[in-house]
Amino acid sequence: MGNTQPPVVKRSLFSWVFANNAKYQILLVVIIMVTVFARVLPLEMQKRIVNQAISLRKIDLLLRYCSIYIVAVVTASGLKFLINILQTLIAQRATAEMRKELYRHLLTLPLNFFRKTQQGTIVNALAAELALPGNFVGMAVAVPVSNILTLVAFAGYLFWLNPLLAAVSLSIYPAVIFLIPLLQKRVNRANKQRIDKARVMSSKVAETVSGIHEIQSNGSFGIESRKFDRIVEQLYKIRVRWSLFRFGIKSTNNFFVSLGPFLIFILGGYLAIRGQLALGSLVAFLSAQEKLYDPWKELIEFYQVYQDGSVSYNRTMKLFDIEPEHVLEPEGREPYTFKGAIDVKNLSFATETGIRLLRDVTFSLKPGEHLAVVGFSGSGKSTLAQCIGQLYKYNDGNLLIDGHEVSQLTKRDIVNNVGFVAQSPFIFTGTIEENLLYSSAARFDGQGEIDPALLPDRDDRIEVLQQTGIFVDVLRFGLNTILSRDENPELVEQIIRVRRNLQEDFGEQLSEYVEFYRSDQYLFYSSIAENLFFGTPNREDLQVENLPRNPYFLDFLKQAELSMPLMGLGAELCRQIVDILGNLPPDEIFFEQSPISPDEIETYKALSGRLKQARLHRLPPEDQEKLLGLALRFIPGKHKMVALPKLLRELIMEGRSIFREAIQKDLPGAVTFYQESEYIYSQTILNNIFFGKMKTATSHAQEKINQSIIQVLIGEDMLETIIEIGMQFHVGSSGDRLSGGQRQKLAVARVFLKAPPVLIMDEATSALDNKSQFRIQNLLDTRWKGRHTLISVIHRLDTIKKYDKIIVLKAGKIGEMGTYEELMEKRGMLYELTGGKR
Amino acid sequence: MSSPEGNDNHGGSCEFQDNISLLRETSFFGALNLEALKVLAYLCSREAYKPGDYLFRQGDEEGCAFYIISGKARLVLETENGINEIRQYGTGSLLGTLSLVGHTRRLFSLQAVDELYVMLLEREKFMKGIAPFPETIPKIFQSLANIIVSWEEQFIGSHDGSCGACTSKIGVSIL
Repeated sequence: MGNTQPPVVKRSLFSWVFANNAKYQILLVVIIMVTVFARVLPLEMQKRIVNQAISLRKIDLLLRYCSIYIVAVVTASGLKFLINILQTLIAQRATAEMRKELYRHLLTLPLNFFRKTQQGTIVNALAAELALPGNFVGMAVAVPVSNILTLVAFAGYLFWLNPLLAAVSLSIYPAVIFLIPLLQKRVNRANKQRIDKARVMSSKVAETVSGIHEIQSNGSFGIESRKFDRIVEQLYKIRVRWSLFRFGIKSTNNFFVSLGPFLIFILGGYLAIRGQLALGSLVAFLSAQEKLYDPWKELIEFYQVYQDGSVSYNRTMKLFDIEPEHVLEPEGREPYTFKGAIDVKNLSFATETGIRLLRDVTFSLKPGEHLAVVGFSGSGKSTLAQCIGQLYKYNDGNLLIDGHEVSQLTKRDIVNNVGFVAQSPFIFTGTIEENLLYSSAARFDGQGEIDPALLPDRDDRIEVLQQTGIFVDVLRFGLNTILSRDENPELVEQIIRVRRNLQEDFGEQLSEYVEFYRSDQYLFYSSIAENLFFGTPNREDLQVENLPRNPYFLDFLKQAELSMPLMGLGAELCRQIVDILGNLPPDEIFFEQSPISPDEIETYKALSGRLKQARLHRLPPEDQEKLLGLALRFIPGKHKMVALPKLLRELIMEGRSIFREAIQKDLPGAVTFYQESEYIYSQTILNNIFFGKMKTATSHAQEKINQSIIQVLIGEDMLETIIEIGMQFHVGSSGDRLSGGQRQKLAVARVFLKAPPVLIMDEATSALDNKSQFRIQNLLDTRWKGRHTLISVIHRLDTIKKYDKIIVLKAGKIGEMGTYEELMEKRGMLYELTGGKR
Repeated sequence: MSSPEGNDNHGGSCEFQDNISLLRETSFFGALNLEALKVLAYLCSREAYKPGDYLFRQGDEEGCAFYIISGKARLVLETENGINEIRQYGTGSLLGTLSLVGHTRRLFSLQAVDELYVMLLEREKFMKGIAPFPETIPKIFQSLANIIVSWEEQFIGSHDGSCGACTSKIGVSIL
């Protein structure tokens, strides 16, 4: 079935019922047959117990019929459970399958679709709206078959018992069948509105999340809340209406069905009195009539699920019912391998609303030639790049790669031959390495998992890291990694060895930027708690956040005469920070140099108010705790709003030795003290190599440190190990743990690693510093020219001199074209552009 | 001077307090009210440079102002023919305030001549730091205008209004 199926958005809801599930559905029907039989059997037994066993007073018959009764009931319940299992399985498989197929389809939709459709709508459609149709698929065979069969079986039995009575008691159902669809129409209308409104709500939430900066900086909480409230109110009304109509159907149904026994009592009672109906038969008739109710109710519910499910299904599929602009895989041939010749003739592109972004663009490039596209913003540079990259479908003209029209090529042909770096590239959640291999892996992506042997090896990976300049960043990620205890035992040994050499060779040079751990020196770049411990606590109650409540530690502070001075320091910190930051917005940047986090500032604001009114030792214990905690977190080298008094510093140094002695005596093993021969597992690789901490994290200091550290790591043959650890760094959701420059470098690196015949760069280095831009440009000029065709949209004109051709675009047209020298000599538009910069 | 190790805190001053006094001495920041000045002083950091180190390079867009606490720095223009020194700056000089206000490219490089110790303020911090104090913004415009005009005034004064070829290039203050 798989290949001949129409695209997912064209499939009917019913097509899911048997697709991939035929086996289960057939099994289900067989089980249902048995179940129905097992359900009718007790009725007959019931009749025989009354009519034969009881009236003839035969114990053996009573026992036999009762045994059959119980076996039938147990079997029926067991089978019912089995039916439920199968139904669930089918429903969930269908939902999962719909989601997968729809997601696959979604990925191929034209960019235009995503520009026009709100994110929340898409999320809601995929996440929420497919559950109901899935439920329907699960029920589609089981429920009607089992219930209709049951109904028919019971009805047949009723007719067999008494045709007249049966006909009368069944006469209510046609009325129900007539009424319910009328009500259902209104349910469906409400349901459509519900889906649409739920989408609006999802979009609103999604918009809020992406625009939260703007909301918070404008303080527009009220405006946004009111907008949201309005949507929720509307949804609330629709949902109430929807639910009421649904219950209306249920109530109508219940009412009519409960008329059944009434008719039987009237007519059956009359017949029994007249002696035309045995009492046992009346009992059996009443039971059977009662049993009609359940399957009927289930059928009605099924009808509702079907209606709701198909409304959701059709609405969802309609949303995504757009054809992809390009075929994914070539059929009947291998994907092309291009040399990279590009011919563009009279290329035009207009938006759907008719705005012409490109007009009559004509140029050609031989394989390996490099083209720079320049012009003011809005001149169509990016559009041109995106048309060549098959991201937009041009309306008019020709665009040929090695003689093949780009619009006719499959996605596979483009993926194998073209690399595209967007201006603000997207980095995916995962590690650096996964992102680095992203483009290369997509090339070899077939049906199953990708064979790792096809992917670029470690040396290639490291080479592109260096070429794009992200190498130092990855090195830093590696160095900032905290190793867990059983990881890399060899590396740990190596690091301890390196530690000594580093101090001998670079100790003096680095001391400007690094504070080494010395047991007899105060550590200005570590917290007071770390200064007291000079080690890593191994117990939960000795972690810094728990110290102000730890009686053992508090006792020690008293003994070391530190309690009051630390509390005083905490009070001073609290006052100063609240004074400086108290009325500022809770922006991360204000709190980088503060021991109080944005979430805590309100608490400390209140505390600073109380400090004005009471002396320190009069404060409530929880305030004292907070001040002590603040002091323990204080890092004098980083939190510069307060100075650490010399006296306190000396007291802390004395405290350090008192603490060590006490711990070793009272709680041996509770703290691992810093020792030059031991790895510190609570700290980063870098701190371990230094056996110390960096004083500042500025780029200037980092550059200085990198020089020494790279030298040491190369000497010890550790550089690649650290880089590999760095490549496992998790970039955060959408790469938010990386800077803009790092994201661009990573995006360039992943395309370099793929090394396609045609490379398109759309202002791909705009967020990079000068040095990195020139490094990458230099690489393109020397290593890529002549081998790979390059089309580069450039906003900085000092890097274009070595390009083979330059196009100046103006309002979607080529204003002029030529080499740098030609155009500068001509004193035309390029000259003007560069002149404008001066 | 004010590195935490060296500060024995006799007078109870700390780096933050020092930063406030340094900023107040400058004509650019001096006019700001104390509340805004406190925030900016808090957001400043310190950095040490070795002779030959660059504080920024021509073409960089980092956006940062420097106040020289001690030492000397030289402003240089890097051309295809080599490096031309424009002039040197010593203790008390404030450089790069224009790059705090807008995203611009460095047209010169700044290099440490000897052991250089500076206080610095980055554009992002400056922008976010003054945002809660909108009343400071006109003062900053005023300071900027003052600096540009007085710079050109001095230039014209020192050239007696006639410096040959350069006359045609003066007039930055009428931009």
